[in-house]
Amino acid sequence: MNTFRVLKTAVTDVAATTAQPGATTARTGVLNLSKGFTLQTPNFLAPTSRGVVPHLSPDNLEKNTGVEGVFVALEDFIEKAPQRVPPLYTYPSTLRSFISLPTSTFLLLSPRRSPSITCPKANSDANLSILTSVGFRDLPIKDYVSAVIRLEPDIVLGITDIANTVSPGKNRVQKMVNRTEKWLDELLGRVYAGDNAITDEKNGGKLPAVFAPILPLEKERQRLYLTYLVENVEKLSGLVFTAAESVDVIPQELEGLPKLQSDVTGGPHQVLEMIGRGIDLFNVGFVGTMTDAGIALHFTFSNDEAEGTEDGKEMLELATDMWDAKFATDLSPLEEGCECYTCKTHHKAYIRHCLEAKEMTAWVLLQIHNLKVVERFFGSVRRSIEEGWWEKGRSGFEAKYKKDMPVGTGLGPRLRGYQYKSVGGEGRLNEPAYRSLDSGDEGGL
Amino acid sequence: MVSLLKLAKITEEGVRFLSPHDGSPMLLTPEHSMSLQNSIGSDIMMQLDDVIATTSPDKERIVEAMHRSVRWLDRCIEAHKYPEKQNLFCIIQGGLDLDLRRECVHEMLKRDTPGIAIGGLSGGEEKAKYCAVVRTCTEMLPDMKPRYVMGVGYPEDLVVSVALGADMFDCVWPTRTARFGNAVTSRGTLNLRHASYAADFSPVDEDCDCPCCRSKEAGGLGVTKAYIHHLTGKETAGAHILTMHNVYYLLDLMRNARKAIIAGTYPSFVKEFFGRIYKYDTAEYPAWAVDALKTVGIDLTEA
Repeated sequence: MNTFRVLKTAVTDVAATTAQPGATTARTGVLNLSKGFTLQTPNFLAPTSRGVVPHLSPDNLEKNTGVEGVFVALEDFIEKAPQRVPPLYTYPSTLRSFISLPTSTFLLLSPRRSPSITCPKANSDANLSILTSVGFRDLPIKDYVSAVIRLEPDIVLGITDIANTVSPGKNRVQKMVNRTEKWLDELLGRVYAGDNAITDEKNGGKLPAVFAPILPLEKERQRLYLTYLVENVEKLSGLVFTAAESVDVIPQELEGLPKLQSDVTGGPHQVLEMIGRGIDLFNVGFVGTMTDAGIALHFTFSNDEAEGTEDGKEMLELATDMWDAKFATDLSPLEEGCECYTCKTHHKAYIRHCLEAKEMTAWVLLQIHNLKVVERFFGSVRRSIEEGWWEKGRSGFEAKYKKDMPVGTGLGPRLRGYQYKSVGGEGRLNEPAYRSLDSGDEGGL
Repeated sequence: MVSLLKLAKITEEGVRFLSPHDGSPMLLTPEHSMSLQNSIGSDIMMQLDDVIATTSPDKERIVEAMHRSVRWLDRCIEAHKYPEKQNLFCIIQGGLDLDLRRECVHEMLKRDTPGIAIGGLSGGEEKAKYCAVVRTCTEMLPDMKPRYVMGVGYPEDLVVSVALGADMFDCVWPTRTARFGNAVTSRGTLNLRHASYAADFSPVDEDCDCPCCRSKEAGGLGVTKAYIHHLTGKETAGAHILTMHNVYYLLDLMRNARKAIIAGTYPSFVKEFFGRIYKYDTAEYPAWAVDALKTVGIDLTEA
């Protein structure tokens, strides 16, 4: 059985039961997945690309990070289907085994990456438009649904029909709502097919936890879908949001479910805002973006008194660009007192040197550190809710740190076409490092 | 100063090139090279040498480079600040001309460096000529000094060069080729980007005990060829995983070579090594390896 229990909400300060009225506030909880994983919330998932947390081989992920769960997209494995059957579909074991995921890490399967690249082709009733490494393709809904059974993820997300235009018209919105419901119904039908549920009990209750998408629409426009969710609440193990504001639309009956924000691009301030709205789980996309840019995070959620930030004291940076030449001889760790592998073993000068030399190790070390900062951050947030200093911690954090992340100045690892959409007319993405001696300006030599 | 010669100019003073970081002009002299290596504190330091591709048709330039390397060695020895704690290796040059190589060995041995490197090879020359140069040099070298053949890393080259009397090697190939998706295995090099590996769910090398090939049950990662195929060229972690395997494979190969030498079974080790790669079909064995090994009394073709 997949279960979620709210332990404590920040405001009411009493142990809450599943249907806590007006629970749109920070809360701690515990998510038990049927395959034996237990997760304290609020917490985070690490986004993956092609099944790996970028820059981390599975042994590094296990040994040097505290990542408890990963967000995996099926579109990363589809390639040339249907012309060629994806290897993953013929693999005799589970997705977890295909990507050599550490046994202590749980796996969430989503049809698409998050955030995903908008496809030029609209979804149809039977297909979701996706982007694979070989271009835009269709993912048949039935393929996703059957993949869920075979690949044995621990959590599976329902498929959202998001329009590929900025402001979809009335008819398209109607379609979004209808399709999302229909697709979820197919998924639930398959997961709980026939006596699956009974078999599941026999097998020790190993069904994946299904998270239902909430559309980024007003309550009125997805009312029927929300009603469907309430009717099927027993089969749901969570909700997934693309826009945090959507938490306001969910009916009380669904409040007891864990809420996942499928992507966070903004950084810790955005996370705090969403935790304040009662979101429990976060797919922290901003961490990878910062790592690729060569930026080291260093923020702490604490109970300290905000020391005179009002009287014009400068606000702290959330992170630092390690490409900066001023670190060339700086032998201090990325963050003083940090317990991560990177900070215990290496210094800023070495990381800057690796970046400068385009050595992959730079991004490995930064990723390990950045994930540790986020892990610590969520740990402190949970403690703040339990110990009753959440509001104080949050306002202290807002007063202490600048709103925005620094902008990267250096080059990341080589950019890949399927990671971003070309708009035409851009310059070279990956500059050559060496130039011929004759073509260079030799100056006085 | 190795390779990338199009990007540099060499004079008696040193090597001029543009910094790959900011494009500024740089001058590397033997003295500066020593001072850099002294401050790095490496256990082994390499002299600055003048390398010409062995395939160069410019005979005169090769002769000049050999003599200049000897002169630069003298400047390096002179500039070396910590001979008591850092070992400076000379680098034997002379292209593919065996007499030139002998002359260079003769000159450099006089300088009595703690170790000796054979340089300028592995630049696309014929394998038979490569072997002749290694053998010519090792024959003249004293037993109790390490002999280091620079830039060699193909498993066949290592196994043959060890037979010819070489002790140490370095090469970017095993790790670079891993980044391109090539796995070095006991059955030869596999290009895992090839579509035939897309759905190959076996380990990279069945006989390998590296963290990547070992099964999950045995405490490894249980990575399959299909997963490397899936990651290669697309995610850095794919390069990391395959690099672990390739480095492990080569270290293990040399570990087993050492064991075989100590046990006095190196010839059968070499035979088994080639047999696995070429499925024991002696007709498939590369002629250069068969010939080179014959010169040291190992006959690959005999059962």
